[in-house]
Amino acid sequence: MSTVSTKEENQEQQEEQKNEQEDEKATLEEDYSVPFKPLVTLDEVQVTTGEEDEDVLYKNRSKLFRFDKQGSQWKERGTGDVKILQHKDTKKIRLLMRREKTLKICLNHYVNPNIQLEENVGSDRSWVWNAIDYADEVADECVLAIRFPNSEQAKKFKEAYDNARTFMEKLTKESDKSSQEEDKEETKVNEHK
Amino acid sequence: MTQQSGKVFCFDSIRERLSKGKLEEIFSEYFDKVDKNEVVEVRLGGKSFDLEAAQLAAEILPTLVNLRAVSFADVIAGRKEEEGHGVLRVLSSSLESDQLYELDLSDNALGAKGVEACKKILSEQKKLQVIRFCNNGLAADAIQLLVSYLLEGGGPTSLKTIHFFNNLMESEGARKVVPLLELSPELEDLKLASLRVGQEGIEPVILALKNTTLLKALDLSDNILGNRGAESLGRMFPSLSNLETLILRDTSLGDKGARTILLCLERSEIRLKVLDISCNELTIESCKILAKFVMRQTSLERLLVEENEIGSKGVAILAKALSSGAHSKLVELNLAENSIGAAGAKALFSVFVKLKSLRKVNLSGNWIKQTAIEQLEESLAQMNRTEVTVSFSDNESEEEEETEEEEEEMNDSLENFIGTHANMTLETCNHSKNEEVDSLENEFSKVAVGNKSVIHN
Amino acid sequence: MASHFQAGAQTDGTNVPTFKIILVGDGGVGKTTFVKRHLSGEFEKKYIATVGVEVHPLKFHTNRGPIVFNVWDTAGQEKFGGLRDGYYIQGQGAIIMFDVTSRITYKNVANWHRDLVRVCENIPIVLVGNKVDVKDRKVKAKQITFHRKKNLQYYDISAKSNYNFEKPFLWLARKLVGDPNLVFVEAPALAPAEVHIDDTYKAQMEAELQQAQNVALPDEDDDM
Repeated sequence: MSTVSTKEENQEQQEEQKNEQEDEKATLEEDYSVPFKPLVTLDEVQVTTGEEDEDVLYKNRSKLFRFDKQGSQWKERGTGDVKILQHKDTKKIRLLMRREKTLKICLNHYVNPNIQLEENVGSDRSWVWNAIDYADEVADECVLAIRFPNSEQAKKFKEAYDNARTFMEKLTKESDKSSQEEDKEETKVNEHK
Repeated sequence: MTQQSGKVFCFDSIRERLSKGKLEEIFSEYFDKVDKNEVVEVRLGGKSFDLEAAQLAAEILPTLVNLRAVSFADVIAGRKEEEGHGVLRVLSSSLESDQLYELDLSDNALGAKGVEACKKILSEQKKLQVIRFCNNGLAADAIQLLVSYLLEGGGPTSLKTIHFFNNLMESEGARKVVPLLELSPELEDLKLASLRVGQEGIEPVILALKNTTLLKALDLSDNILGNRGAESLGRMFPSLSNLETLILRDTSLGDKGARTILLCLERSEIRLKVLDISCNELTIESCKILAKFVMRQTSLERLLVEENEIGSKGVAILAKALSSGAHSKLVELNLAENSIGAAGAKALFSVFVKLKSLRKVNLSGNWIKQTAIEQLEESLAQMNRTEVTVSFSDNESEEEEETEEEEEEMNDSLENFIGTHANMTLETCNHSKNEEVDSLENEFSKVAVGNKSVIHN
Repeated sequence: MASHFQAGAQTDGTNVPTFKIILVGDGGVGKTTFVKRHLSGEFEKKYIATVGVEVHPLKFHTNRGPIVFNVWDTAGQEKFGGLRDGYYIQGQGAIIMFDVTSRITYKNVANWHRDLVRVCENIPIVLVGNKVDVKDRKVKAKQITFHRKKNLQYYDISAKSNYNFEKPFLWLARKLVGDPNLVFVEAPALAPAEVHIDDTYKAQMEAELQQAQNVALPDEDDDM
């Protein structure tokens, strides 16, 4: 009798432990809500990401920060995939990042040939740079930092960024040249008049 | 607390915004009937003041020359930050220094800025005996500021009651309270509850109690003590011999921590009236120690063990101890939400029979069958114990009722336990040399050694 | 785009449906931090008690177009009844938040719920337990039962780790729009303006950059 009960007890204990572990792990997400009459009816819409005419040159998960000058501290801007995108027609390259889950934009500006990625104290997987950013659709003059899961991935990002920067430098020079030529043409025309 | 009889001014229970005009009306109506010299206490809570109303109150307050207690609790609901803090500044600047014995600022969103707005009343009332900061949005920075105001001029304070409750104090803030405790030798009632304080914050607070030898009530509930905190507290018991109320509800004690507390209490001079160890994941293991504890702590009036896992077996052990005769003062026993089945409820019957002092028993949220509830209620009625209120609400769940076999098994183990422990009288218990007590003694001596080293440090 | 607004739905002038969402719960449970997380992405560690109420518009892009939640972030210290009605009137959805590291904040959920439904009958309400990233959790999953009694949706969340942080708003959007399959979609990434940074301007910016470079990023042990 006693051995039997011991076995049962053991089993019980094991089960209890299992249950407890599951309890610990279990994070709740339960819907007990009653039916609710919606306040609006909205039609499905065609989703435009704004990235349709762009090629993805680079993409990696990262965490973005913005420097708070007043408090002299970094504040998080978002976690998600940072992308380097190139427009198919204009060839311009931008940095774009959305927050995971809500897919809101937290980084959006063209790669500027004058701006380089710098190191951040005490981190081998982060970069710091100046930007005039348009994530919120208005110009935000800021210092940003981006952190990657490891230094390897951070290096890859810098390579991709530097390539983009070199490309944008050429592109800017070319467009400067062509616009200068256009200016000259215009001057000539004017002179003729 | 002020021990002064007199009139108390307070508003009706309707919560509303108060204009100057309305307040004028209320004051004039009140002081038509009551002499200003008779008013010893003013409570402004429940009405939301605008600046003008606050200024009017600030004119009246200094004319109440015998005013000793004020409550500015909940006076800025729905106000914008600037206005709300302005109101607090006006009110708290209105009183003569050293006038007050009691101050309550609860239920206002203070934070550090709000504390700053109350600087005058906090730093100039040097005779305060009672302060309450419950639900004030205080984090460590605000606590530090608050304590620095209270200790302005160096101390010691005259504080007998310090209540902090439901703030975001955390461990960092708890450490900021320590200087206040160290400089409050008159302290009788300390409540530091629901403050999200972890073990590393609760320890310095506990160590600061070594000089508060007059302490009668200590409430540390809804923080984290764990066994480490329990050991630290246990070491303080020798200097807390006046303690009557100990609330350690929901402090992550576990059986180990509860055992430490109970053993250390047992060896101390402390004679508790109220012990609350609810919500600590206690099992039958704790009941064995608790059983011995209650047999010796005959002064106990209220024992609260709700929301644990003591089960029918645990209750049976406890019931045996409580009905052993030594106990005569217990009024309230709370065993709600403890996975107690019908057998556990039946075991309590002897307590109902023998404990004549008992008035209130809570068995709600257990697994007691309806038939068993009816039986128990019938028996109580037959015995004419109508003065005992027993709550059985929320006992419907049938999912884990004991089988008969389990009940039998339980009776067996009970017999065993009763054979070795529960029949001991107070005296034999004290001189018992059985193994378990020996091992407990060893453990206690370890704790005691630790105690010495702490004191010498 | 044909949208059919019924009584109670507001628009913000650009035809984006706008809803009043009430956010309540005890002080220090993380209401303001949660809203700020959605607004700017930041995680505010410093606790500054909200006095009165602060209203923040939060825009979400869904497969049924953009919607705006005007979130009424209220002080947790004010007592229940009467004086808070101004916050609640015409509320169309609500989030009741507690802190899983503080038992009292869960116990008070019943009071917040009563206070809320006294004014707002039959609005979708989601119960949220915040700070689930903390190891010493006081309110265990099995102890959270209030939503069952009162027919609410429940989520464990962490504003710190972002765990489930979008779920309360997604659920409210689904209820208010009447589409259980509604999802958040990419916000349209407009082309940014082209900016020319010359050397003088760059020199100005450099000082700031250097300051920032010497401040370490928070939580360097974060394994993402």
